[in-house]
Amino acid sequence: MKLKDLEIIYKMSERIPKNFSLKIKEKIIRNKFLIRSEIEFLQELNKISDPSTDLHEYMNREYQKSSELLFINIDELPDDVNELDADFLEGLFLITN
Amino acid sequence: MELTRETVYKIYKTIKGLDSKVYNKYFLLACSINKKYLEPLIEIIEKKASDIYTSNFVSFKTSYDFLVNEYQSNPNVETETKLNTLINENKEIIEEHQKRDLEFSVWVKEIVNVDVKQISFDHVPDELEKDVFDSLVVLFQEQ
Repeated sequence: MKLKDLEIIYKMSERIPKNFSLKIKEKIIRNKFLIRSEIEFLQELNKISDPSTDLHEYMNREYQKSSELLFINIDELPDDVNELDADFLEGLFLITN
Repeated sequence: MELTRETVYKIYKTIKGLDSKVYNKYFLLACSINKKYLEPLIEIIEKKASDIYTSNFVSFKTSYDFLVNEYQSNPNVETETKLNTLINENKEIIEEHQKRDLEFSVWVKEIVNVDVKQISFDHVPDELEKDVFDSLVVLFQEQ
C-alpha cells in the first residue's frame, strides 16, 4: 500500500453509506483512525512541498503500517455496492480482498 | 504475465474507463487490483511518451498547426512560403522527433513481465462490451 492510497481510503471513510453492515463500518472507521495521523502529516507536508517533485516521490513510498489495516472480504460487501460512485469504490477496494 | 507495454496500457485505460454501475463487485475488485498493479508501468510509459514531445518540437508544432489552419482557410503563396520556411528552419527538431517517435513505437511493443490478478470466468459479466472483452480477455482465468 502506497502513501498516496491512504488519502483515497481516508476520503472514502468520510462517506460510509448507512446501509453498510456494522462490521464493515467498524473496519472502515478503525482504518480511518489508524491512518489519521499519517493523513495529517501528509497535509502538513503538502503545504511546504513542491507537488511536482519531492511530494510525488514521497507519496509513492510504502505505508509502513499496511499490515495493521483491517481488510473487508468482498463477500461481506452488499451486491449493489457497484451503485456507489467510482471514487468511493476506489477507496473501498483498496481495503477489500 | 508476459505482455507488451502497449497491451498493458490498453488494459489500464479500459479498466479506468469502466462504468462501475454495469458490473458486479467481484469483477470490479479484480479490475481495481489490476489497476494498482499496472500503475507503476503506466507512469513509465506516460513519461516516455511525453518525452517524445520536447519543448522545441511543441513550439514548432504550435506554429505549424497555426499556419496550416491559416492556409486551409485561405490558401495563398505567402502562408505557403512561411510554412516551408518554418519546416526548413526546424528540420533537425522534426527529425529528432521522428526518431524519438519511432523508438517509442518499438519500445511499447516490447514484452515485459507484469503482475496481474487473473479474473475468474465466474465473475466475468455475461454481456461484456466487445472492446472491454477484447482488452481484458488476457486477464480472464482459463476454465
